[in-house]
Amino acid sequence: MHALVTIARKEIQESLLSARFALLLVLALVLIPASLYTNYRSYEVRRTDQMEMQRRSMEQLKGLSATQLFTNPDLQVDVYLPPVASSAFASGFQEAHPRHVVVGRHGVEYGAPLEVSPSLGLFGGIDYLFVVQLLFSLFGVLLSFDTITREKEAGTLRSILASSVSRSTLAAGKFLGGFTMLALPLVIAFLVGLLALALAGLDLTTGGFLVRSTWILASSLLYVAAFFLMGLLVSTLTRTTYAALVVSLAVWLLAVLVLPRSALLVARIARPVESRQAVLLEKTAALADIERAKGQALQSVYDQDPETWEEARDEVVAPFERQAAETARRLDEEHRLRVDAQRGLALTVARLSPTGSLVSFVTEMAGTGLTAERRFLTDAESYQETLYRELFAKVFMDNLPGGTIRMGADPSLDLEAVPEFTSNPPAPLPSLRIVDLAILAAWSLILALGAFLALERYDVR
Amino acid sequence: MLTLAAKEIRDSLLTLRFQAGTVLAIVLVAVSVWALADDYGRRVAGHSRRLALNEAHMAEFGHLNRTGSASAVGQPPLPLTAWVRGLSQGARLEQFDNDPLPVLFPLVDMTGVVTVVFSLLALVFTFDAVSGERRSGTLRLLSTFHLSRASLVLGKIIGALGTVAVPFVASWLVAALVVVIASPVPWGPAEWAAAVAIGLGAFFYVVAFGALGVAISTLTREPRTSAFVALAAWVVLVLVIPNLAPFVAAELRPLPSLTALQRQAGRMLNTERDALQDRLRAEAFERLRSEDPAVGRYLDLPRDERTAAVAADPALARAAEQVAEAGAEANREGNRIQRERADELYEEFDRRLDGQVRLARLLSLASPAPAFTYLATDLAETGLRHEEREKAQGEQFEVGYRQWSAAKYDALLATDPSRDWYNTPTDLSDMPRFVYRSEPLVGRLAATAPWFVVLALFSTLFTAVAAVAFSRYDVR
Repeated sequence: MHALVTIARKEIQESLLSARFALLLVLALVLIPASLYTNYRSYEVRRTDQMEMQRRSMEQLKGLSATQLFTNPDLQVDVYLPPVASSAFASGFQEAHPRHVVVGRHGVEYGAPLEVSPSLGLFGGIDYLFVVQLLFSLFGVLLSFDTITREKEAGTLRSILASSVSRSTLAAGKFLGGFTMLALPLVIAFLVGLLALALAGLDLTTGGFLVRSTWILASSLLYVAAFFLMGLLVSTLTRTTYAALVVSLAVWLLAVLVLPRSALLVARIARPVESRQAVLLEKTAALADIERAKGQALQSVYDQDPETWEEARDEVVAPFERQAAETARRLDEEHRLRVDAQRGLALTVARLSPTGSLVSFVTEMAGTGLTAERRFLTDAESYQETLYRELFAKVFMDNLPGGTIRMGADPSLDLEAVPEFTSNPPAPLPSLRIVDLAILAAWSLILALGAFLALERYDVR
Repeated sequence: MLTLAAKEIRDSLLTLRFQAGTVLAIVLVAVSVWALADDYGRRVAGHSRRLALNEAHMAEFGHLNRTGSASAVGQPPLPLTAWVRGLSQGARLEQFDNDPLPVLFPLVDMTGVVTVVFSLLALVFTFDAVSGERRSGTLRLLSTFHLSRASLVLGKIIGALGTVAVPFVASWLVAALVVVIASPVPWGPAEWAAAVAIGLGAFFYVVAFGALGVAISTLTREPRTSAFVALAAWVVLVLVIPNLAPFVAAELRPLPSLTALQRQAGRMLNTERDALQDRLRAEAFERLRSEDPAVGRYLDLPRDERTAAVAADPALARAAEQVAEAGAEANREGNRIQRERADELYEEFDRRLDGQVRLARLLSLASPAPAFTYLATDLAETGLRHEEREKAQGEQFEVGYRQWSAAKYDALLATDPSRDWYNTPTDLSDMPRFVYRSEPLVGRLAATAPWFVVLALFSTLFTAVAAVAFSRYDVR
């Protein structure tokens, strides 16, 4: 026990005065709080925008005159995605996701994406996730890749192993000491970041913010530990510092930059999905066919006595409306299933690397991951069903063969009474992606075991 | 000096880093280019299908009312995106896709491989060029030769670059080979020329990092320290600065929220315009009153009596005409003025956005990595320049399209004035289609010349630092 502490303390002392630690501390203290603060401010702007656009959209709807209601066959309501404060940690998909979704008669469609400054489009911004994912993992490797090999080269390893210190204690001590030097800057910078957010006006106690932050920090520490252990393992397996450097860098590159990004490519090739626009066009074509058939059927109705055509119309139209709704829903669902399959595969492949798991977990916690997007779409869809009942079903426009158009509205239509869109507030603790945490923990365990084993079998001669 | 370089190269060929680096680079490049080429094929097929569906859609029930969305099918994927994704990876060019995955896990392309992998390779090959030799004692030996220190450094740089050249050239050959083999990517002479230019830019980029590695090696004593400093420099230059620059620029030159702008513009075109029109009409009527007393009489009549009075009195009829004309003129004027104001608002926003983008670009030049990214994306037409061109061409198309639409409507109206031609299906086969015109290669090369210069400057700077530091180097 005493030996463990001594070794650890020696590591810490050596690192504390080294340039590596200083650089890491500086980078962390600058980048993490700054990015948290800036991303939080842009969240505030997005929030104000969203509330205003939502209000404007409803006002526009309620301000429609009767004629406008009828002559616009593509009556739509825009529904805006509410941003979350914890997006300060990870921008996630927010830059690509449509800012709003368009709710129409036959379903829900993506609206235009958020206007992003073009330079950000080329490089992407900096957020907490970026700093941990790239910087801390690299420094984790840099702080550990030569921890054993430098002792080998200096010859001191032989004397340590000859002493009464067990090999596992040595490994544990190296890990404890080195990892502390990694964890310290991260935790300090994290706390400073939270302070910066509080200063920016965020009430840390609302919306489960602190709970999410804690989980994010925990996953980050696991992630960094995994990379430290990887460097440690490489250090025990190689003979020279130089070889250790090359190998650990190669592994880092593959794990952090290559694997997660190839995941999407793999998924696209294995499970191709057509674009949304193609589906939209297909849907429009199918619905147009139904519309035409409906027009034909209605021709005979309108030729009748004008007193009776109202009820007759309802009867004739009902099966067509049903068919249209079913067709739209079917096409949407088929597309959705294929998209989910593609995403599932991409995520599975990406999570083979600790980086993929970290991204998946942190974006989930930050409320900017894939489930948040799905939840928004589901909310929009149930709103669409409400709107259909209250609005779309009460307004009709019939295209009769020959080009005539008949339109009208149910007298019970009351634009003022059309309900507003409310999205369910994000749960204080989003579905905990245990799988991601498990993958991170598993990597750490496997690598630690590997390092222990390698050291045990090490031939000092 | 050349002998020294040759020796460096020979020595390195057997090292682990060379072999590992070469294999890694070749595999990465092969996989990413192949995947991107496949992706390109997929996108082209998707685009063709969209076009076909679109045409069918228009043929089915083209209303003048509905052509708007059809004319914006978007441009086809560019062939060079097999190498350089650039901005095309966003949601911009492929509307309606809004796929979040490419944002969470961005795709790898040649630009990424070069900026990240090759810079790292260059540094790994050179970081111990001097400090390693000092450690092993051979530097002392070298310094006894009849070589100036500057030549020594240069020899080392050339030698290191010679070593990096092998995986570098091999990778580019593989990238070119994959493009040729993967049939859906049609590269003509223009594309090949652009590809060569990109390769040249990548070469300058690698030279810069090679020189940086040697410079760091001359500034540090132990190879261990060199490794660390080199990697720290890499992190800052390749990972931090490119991503930080747009951020900082956004803080220094913030933009007003687009929503606030739209709100303002909306007000200008509605309530403010109505008020302005009211005022202009009032002024016009006052003028008319002073000119012709009949106008005064007409205006003073209550509305429901006007029709009868006009029928009775020809002077009043004339006055009514004048009032109607003046009113319409005032409305038009009001519209024009407010429209100009709203346009000015958007132009101001565009100017500020432009300023922010320029600042971001300037700040990012503290590192060679963004310079290469701009170079590659501008040559492949997936960069910022292309954005502006596409927007400009889009605007031009809009003008032409609106003219066609108005002319068509007038022609149709002439045939049957009673119909609502906006909502009647018509033959729209003569509708103009948007076709993106590529910028000629010469233009692109001229535009990217500054980036080449920037990369050359970095190389010169680092080489100079290495030479100066080495001249004072203690070889013991």
